[in-house]
Amino acid sequence: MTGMNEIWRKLRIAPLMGLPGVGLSGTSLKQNLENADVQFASLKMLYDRFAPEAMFTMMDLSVEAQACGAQLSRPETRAFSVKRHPVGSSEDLKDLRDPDPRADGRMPLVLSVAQAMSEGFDCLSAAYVAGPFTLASLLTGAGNALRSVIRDQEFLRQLLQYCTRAIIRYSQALAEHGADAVCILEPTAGILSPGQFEKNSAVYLKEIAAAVAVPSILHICGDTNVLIPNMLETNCSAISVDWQVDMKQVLQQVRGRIQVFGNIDPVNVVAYGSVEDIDGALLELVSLARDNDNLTISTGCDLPLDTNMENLSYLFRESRRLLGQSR
Amino acid sequence: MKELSDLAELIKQGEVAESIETVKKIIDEIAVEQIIGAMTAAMRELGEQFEKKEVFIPELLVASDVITELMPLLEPYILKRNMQRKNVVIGTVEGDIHEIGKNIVSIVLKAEGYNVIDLGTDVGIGQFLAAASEQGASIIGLSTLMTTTMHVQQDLIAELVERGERDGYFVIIGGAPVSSRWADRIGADAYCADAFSTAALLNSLP
Repeated sequence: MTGMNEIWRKLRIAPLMGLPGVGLSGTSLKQNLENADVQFASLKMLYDRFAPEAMFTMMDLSVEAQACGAQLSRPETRAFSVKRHPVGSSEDLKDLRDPDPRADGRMPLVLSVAQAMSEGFDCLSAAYVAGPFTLASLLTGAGNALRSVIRDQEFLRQLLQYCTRAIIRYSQALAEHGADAVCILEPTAGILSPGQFEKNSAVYLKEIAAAVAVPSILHICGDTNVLIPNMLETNCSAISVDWQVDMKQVLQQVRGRIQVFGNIDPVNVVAYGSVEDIDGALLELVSLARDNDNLTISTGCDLPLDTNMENLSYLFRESRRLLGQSR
Repeated sequence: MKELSDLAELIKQGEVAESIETVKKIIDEIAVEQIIGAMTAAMRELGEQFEKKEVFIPELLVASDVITELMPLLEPYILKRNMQRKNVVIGTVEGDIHEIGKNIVSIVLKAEGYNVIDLGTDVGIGQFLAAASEQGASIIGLSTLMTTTMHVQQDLIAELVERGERDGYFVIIGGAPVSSRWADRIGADAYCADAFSTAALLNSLP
């Protein structure tokens, strides 16, 4: 744990950025999500331009769902989404096969990107994976998953166990391909109550964190103020929180135990805001980061495709200046 | 009235079959306005609990399911009594298939007595504007959950301006990546964080 903390605490500024690389490389999002070389080239443009302390694969929640049998809609310029949910009921669970990360869907593509990042970037390389409740929602539909929280716990439990196995195997493969960390994206669980989160996400997140050899960052978008204690109990080595969350309170609850990433508004401040907006967002965050070396200044979620690059440059430059870093 | 308070409780508990049974029993004896009033009361109470973080989306969803099942039973009575209802066109914008939030807004507004024309998900700008025009709706609700599709909200407002029809519509936006700042930026009339603030806002309009 000490070694891991040392790695995290070197990370002072690490925005969740991947999609802006698409704009930089002049490619389409679809090309990036379907071709490992294109995706790595886009990420490398971000890496070369900003010399970040951490890089992430391109955020794509459809990878695991596809490998588990979901049919996707693949538009040219927007995120891929699940077109048909393969699991309607417990009966359908029998037909599900555990995905092979080296063979199924686009998991091999992301493994290649992780490997290229590990070999090509001199910084922490992290790969995104879907969280258990989020993957379950993609496989059975968010409405069905959320209704099952109340109406059909047994079906949901079986589905979540399947999802957890799939995520563990995929995360392990990513680690074997050089990922220094996995970032578990669990947005759909962010709308559960603390009790529902504990039962339908946290217990499975604990399994994942324990089974994967590299550190895990748990990222949940939106207002997760009430879920912070539960997120801390998952044994993930870091949490990443969105702009609606009170960072000061989070740090008080964390008490230095794990790393916290966050939480500048990626849309209104970084992508489409002004430098004054960025200054405003950094004011309190930098002050907190000076007092808490377990705070990594980051964005509340991945930055949009058409993020203003001047803003992103300013965010890096100004954060480093305020924290007394030189790069 | 006990039947109405029982119905409100059943709705809050998400009890579909029992709610239907109750409504079938009372529909010929109690004015439809009062039944809708019980639905409204149930959803408002859930809304207050939601605001206090005492209930969460799964509870809202199962309660919304009850309202969805009850509305077809009530529609003939609503038509018979010629109740005046404001028309609202709502949908998730083109390229986005997320629907939970939009569905809950739709149901809460129905429970508040609005005539909601829910166009579903992946709805194009043309579809929104055609539906609003055909249905005589002056309120348009645009939902999106993704940063890659939030611009469609902006494009719809630009299209209204282009057509010289901007003043004819009250455009509300919602969804995880958007905010009141985004609403200001794109010239929307309002941003609403959830179904209950949407209902409160619309109820406050003249």
